[in-house]
Amino acid sequence: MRILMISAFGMALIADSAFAQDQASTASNDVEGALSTQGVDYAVDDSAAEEDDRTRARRYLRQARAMALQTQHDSKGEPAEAPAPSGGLQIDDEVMVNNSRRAIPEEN
Amino acid sequence: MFRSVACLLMVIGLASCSGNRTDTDGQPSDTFALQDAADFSKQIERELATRGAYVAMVFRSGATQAALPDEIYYSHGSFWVYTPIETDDGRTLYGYAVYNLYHGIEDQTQSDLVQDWPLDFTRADDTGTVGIIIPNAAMQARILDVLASDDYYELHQSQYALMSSPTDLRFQNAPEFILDVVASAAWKTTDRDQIKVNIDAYFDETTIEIGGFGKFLAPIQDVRNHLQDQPGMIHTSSFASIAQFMENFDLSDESFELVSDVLPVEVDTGDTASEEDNKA
Repeated sequence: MRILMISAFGMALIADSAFAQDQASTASNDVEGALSTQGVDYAVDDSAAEEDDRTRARRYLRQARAMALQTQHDSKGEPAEAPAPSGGLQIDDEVMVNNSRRAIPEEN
Repeated sequence: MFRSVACLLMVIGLASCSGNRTDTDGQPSDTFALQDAADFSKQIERELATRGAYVAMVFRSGATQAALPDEIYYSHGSFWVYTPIETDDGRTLYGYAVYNLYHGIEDQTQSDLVQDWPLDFTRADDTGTVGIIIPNAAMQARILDVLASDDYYELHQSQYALMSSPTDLRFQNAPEFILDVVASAAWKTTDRDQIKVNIDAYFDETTIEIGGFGKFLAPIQDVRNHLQDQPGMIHTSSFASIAQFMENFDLSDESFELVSDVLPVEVDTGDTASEEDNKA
C-alpha cells in the first residue's frame, strides 16, 4: 500500500506540474517603467491606431509574407528591396512592448 | 480500509494544493530579471535573423525540467514572424512578432490566438533555453500563407487540454496547433479531419508514460488535464516530435536549442527528454 501511495503521489506531482504550458504572458505599464529604469531601449507598437488586434496581427503577417516573397523573387536575380544586409535580416535593438492588449478573442 | 482512503484523500489534496506557480493568474513568471529576459529575447531574434528565417517555431519552458514529465522539455511553442513593425511614434522597426495559442486566465479550458512580442515570450521562460525549428524556404512561404489567411483561425480548436492528442479533433494545445498549421501548409488543406488522418499516418507522437492511477488523479488536480482524448498511454506533440517530423519529410532547414548568453541556465541532469530534444 505504501508503494502504491508513493507511486500515486509521484504521478500526481507529475500531473500537477506537468506543464506551465501555453501560459499567457502579459505586458503591463510596469514593464515600460522597469525597462526605462534598467536602461533597456523599448518601443511601443501602434496600438493607439484605430485598428483591432486581429487586424493588426494579420497586417504584420501580410507584410511578412510580402517580404518573404520579395526575397524569394530577389534570389532569382531581381534587385533586393527587403532589408536583408549581409549576415541575415535586420533586427532593431529596441525591445517591442505593448501594454494595451492581452488577447485576440476568437469565435470558434 | 479507512487508513487507505485517508491516505488517498491526502494525496489528492496535496496534489490539488501544490498548484503550479505560473498557473495562478496568467502573469509572466519573471524568473529572470527583466533586462535579462529582454536581452534573451533579442538574442533569439538575432539568431533567427542571422539564419534568414522569416518564420520559425520557438519553444520555451515555463517550468524547470524537474517539474516536467521526462518526455517533455518545452511546454509552450509559438510562431515567430519577421516583419516591419510600426511604432506609436511613427517609426518602422524590424523584428519578430509572436503568434501564440494561450489558454484563458479565467477559464483555463478555453484558448485564444494571441499575437505578442519576444519579450512576452521570454518573460515566461524558466530555463534560459529555447528550442527552435526553422522551416525550409518553401515551407516558410506556405506557413506564412496559412498564418495570413482565415485558415489560421479555422485551424484553432478553442477547447484546451494540457496534453492534447494530436490525432484527436476535440482538444488542442500550443504544440498541437503548431503541428496543425504545419500539416495544413504541408498538405495544402484546411480540412481538420484530413489533417488528423494524415498526422495519425505520418507523425510520431511523444508518448508520456503514466499509469492508470495517475490518469485518474490528473483531471482531479487540474481542470486542464481532461484526458478524454487519451484512451491509453498519453500521446501528445512536442518540440522534439514536431522537429523530427519536419526533418523526416524535408520540411525544415534545421532545428536546434539556443542557450541564453545572459541567463543562468538550468543544469542538465541528463534526463531522457533533454537528450531526446537535443537529437531533434
